Amino acid sequence: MQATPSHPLIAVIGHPNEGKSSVLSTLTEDDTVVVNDYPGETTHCQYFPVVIGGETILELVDTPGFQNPQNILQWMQQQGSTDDALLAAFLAEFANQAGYEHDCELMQPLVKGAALIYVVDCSRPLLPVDEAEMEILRLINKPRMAIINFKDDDRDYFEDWTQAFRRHFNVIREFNAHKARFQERIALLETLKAIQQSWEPAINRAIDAFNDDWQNRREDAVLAITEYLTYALRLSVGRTFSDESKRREAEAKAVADYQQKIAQYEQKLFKRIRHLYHHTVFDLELADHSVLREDLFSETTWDVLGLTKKQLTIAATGMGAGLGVTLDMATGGLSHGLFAAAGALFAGGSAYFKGAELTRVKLKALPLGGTKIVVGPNQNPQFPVVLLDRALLYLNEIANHAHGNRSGDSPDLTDQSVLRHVDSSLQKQLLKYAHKITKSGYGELEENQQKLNQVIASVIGS
Amino acid sequence: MKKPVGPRWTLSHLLQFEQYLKLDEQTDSAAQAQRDRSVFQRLPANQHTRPRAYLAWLAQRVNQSPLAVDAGALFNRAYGGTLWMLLLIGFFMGAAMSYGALYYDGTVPVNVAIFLALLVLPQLLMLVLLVLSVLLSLLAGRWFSAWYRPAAKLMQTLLAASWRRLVARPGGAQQDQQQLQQELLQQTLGLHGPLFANRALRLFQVVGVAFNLGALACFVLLLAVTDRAFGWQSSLTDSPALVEQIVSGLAWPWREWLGAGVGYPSLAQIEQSRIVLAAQSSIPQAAAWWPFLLLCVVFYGLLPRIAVYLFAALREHWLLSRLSFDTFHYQELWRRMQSIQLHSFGHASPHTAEASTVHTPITAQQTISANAYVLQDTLARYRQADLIHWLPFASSEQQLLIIDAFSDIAPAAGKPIYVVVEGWQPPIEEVLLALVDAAKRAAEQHSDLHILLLGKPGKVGNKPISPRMAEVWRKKLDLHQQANILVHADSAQGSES
Repeated sequence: MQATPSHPLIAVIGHPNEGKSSVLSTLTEDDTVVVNDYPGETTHCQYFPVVIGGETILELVDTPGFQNPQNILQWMQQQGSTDDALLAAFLAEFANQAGYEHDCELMQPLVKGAALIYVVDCSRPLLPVDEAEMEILRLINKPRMAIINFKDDDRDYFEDWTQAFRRHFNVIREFNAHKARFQERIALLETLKAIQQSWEPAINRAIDAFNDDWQNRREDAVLAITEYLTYALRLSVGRTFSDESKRREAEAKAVADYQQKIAQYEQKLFKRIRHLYHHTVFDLELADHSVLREDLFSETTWDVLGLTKKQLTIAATGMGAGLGVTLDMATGGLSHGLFAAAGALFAGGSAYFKGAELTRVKLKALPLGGTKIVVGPNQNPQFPVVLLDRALLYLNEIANHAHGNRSGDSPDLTDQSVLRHVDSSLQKQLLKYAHKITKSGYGELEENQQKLNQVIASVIGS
Repeated sequence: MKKPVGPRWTLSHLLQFEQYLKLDEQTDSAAQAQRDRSVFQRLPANQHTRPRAYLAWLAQRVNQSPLAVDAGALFNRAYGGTLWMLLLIGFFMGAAMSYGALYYDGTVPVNVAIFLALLVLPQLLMLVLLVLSVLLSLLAGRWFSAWYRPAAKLMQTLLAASWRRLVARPGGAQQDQQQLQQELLQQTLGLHGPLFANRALRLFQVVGVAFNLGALACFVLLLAVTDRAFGWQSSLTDSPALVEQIVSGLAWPWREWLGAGVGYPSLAQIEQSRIVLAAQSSIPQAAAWWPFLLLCVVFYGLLPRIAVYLFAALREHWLLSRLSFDTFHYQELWRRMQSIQLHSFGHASPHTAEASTVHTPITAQQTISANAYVLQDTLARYRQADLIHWLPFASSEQQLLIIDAFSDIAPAAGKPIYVVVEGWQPPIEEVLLALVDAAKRAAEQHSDLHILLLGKPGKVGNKPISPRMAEVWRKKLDLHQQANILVHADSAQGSES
């Protein structure tokens, strides 16, 4: 027998094409794992160590699928032994036998003392080969659990499987490798503790690390989004022209340049989010009807995302009143709320009438002749909302996309806006700090960025 | 040779720090996290504060990745050069002004009122304005916070000019550094404006100190090598008592120490040193004034400048020691430092999937011309009537031959063999071997083995097999290179053969 590692070793075992690699890919967030419905892609064991600070505390193993379960069971039943002795005898007998390479390979982690997770797709009927596989695992008698991985939503055979599992496993858990989110991954790790009690501290450490890491990612993403919004809100692009006939051309170029710069930064942000959530190798495609496929400045984007006209007007009115109150306080109350009322009226009116304006162009006469076209900073209150909505939508898609799922499935595309569904006080604060960031100098910028960062974190947390 | 980073924050460190942060924006964040985490972990626990950790981080960056254009070193060089230049300018300006105020041609004595108006009162006024502005900014910082901006802007201009010169030099850094330089300076001054304004304040005091030293040096030199007469004269007053009051007031700092007659002229000396043109040719107390004038420059010019310089130097030290780096701008680095090193990716496997170079021969779709074999176990999941109906090439008269295992298939000479197989799952080796074995036996009878793949059974109806799964079967069979096997599928798209 080979040396047993000091950390928990867990082999993921099952019939070919049941989703073992998908489960591993989702659980470890590794999109380099070959996930394919062509069986035989996994010909050798692949080890997935969970390393914290350079120390391996848990190791998962992807294994090839059983190829000869009924033949093996027949042979094992004739041996009259069980447990490690049976395992050793099996390997001695079949190690050099053609056609049994995968079966021998999948047993290797068990030789090293691995516990096992048996993965099955319970949307299909229970077959004699499945019974044979489960019986083999029972005879080898390693700590084990079963994972029900529904490849389809079909639950016709679930009862048959449950019956069979009860005969062979103490711990059974559902896990959809194509849809599992972070919470489901953690729940699965929690279940691993039940396989072997002595592994609980190591698995707890892994869970804590995964939780901390997840929280860190979320905060990193919020920081990145705040930086992106700051850039976009303060951006202005200028272009000069001397001949009036070239004004339209200059205007178009300035607007295109402005929009391109923001779109490029957005792509940079998206790339950063993908990196944060380890979607780096597989080219994740967005769902067909995702508004993220649309250009940032397209009318569809501005129609689907951002606040409704009513929400925008209410939030802008609140924001304007808030700013006015500051001025009222500065006058020691002598203005009797005049600034608050004026602020509310002005901001609300602007939002109502200019909420749909994508980009505004200003003209400035130059002292030595000629005119300068200036695009930005964008004063439209809807502007930061649309930008943030898109960023949050993308973040949601990426953070919740299971690594074992190699398609662009998106569960609900009916209402893609995130910000339309958050509390109106958050909408108001968003407009307030976005407005302040547009206006503030470097001294105040930091403070307002910090505030906006908190608002975005609250939106994500809400 | 790069200067190592010292144990305390300095202005040049801040610039270097910003420069490295700026560079990090363009590199891979995972590698940065690894690097920054290791810096943090190497620090003793009592140094796990942002200023300490960031300084250690900066020291490592300076050691490991020296900058092509080091903004910190550039700042020190620009500041040093400017300092010496201002020292010289201030000294010569002071000397020149002192020489002018002490002009004496032997006829009219040096008018102390002019000397005071030129060399003392403006400095006194500037000192009062400085104290007022500092007090106002302390009392109502938010409203008067802008007072330091011109000074900070001056530092920015100074540094930008030095940077431009360096970049323009042959062998200097690339032109694209210009953009970086602009952003870097704006950002650093935006974040640490008061610190840089304070440094500008120190610079101004150096000019003041040099000016007063120049004035004093010239004064002392003239006194040493020439005989100067001093007197007073004014159109506003001719009262020696009033002049004595003013003089005594001005001499307040040293009045008790040196007293009347030495530290400042006494009433009698003032009376006797009044310049009355054409009335007298000589002034009896012409020498009584110079100690007073000298001390005025020292106390109202030199010493306040030195005091403000020391105040600014201490304030800089204080501000640097109170840097918390807890604003939004510095969060990302802190987060990277405190991140956990978690890695759960799989070791890359050197193994590749199995593949065949030979493809199973494919024949055209054909009608079932004999009875079809089916496993007993399969019939437990499919209804026979459904199966017949479902097989696209079968006629209703045909029967299914029920067998327990594929080894029960009995080939007949020249007749094709049809086997109904559940094809909704990929084939495993023991199934393939059994089918290949049957195919070999059929080959001996010059027959072909037709595998009819069935889709997944369901409680309410069967699902057609996916073209992809049919392809999997074909590929798996390819590996066995049995030429008389043909594959058919029940997919909606028709035969998959």
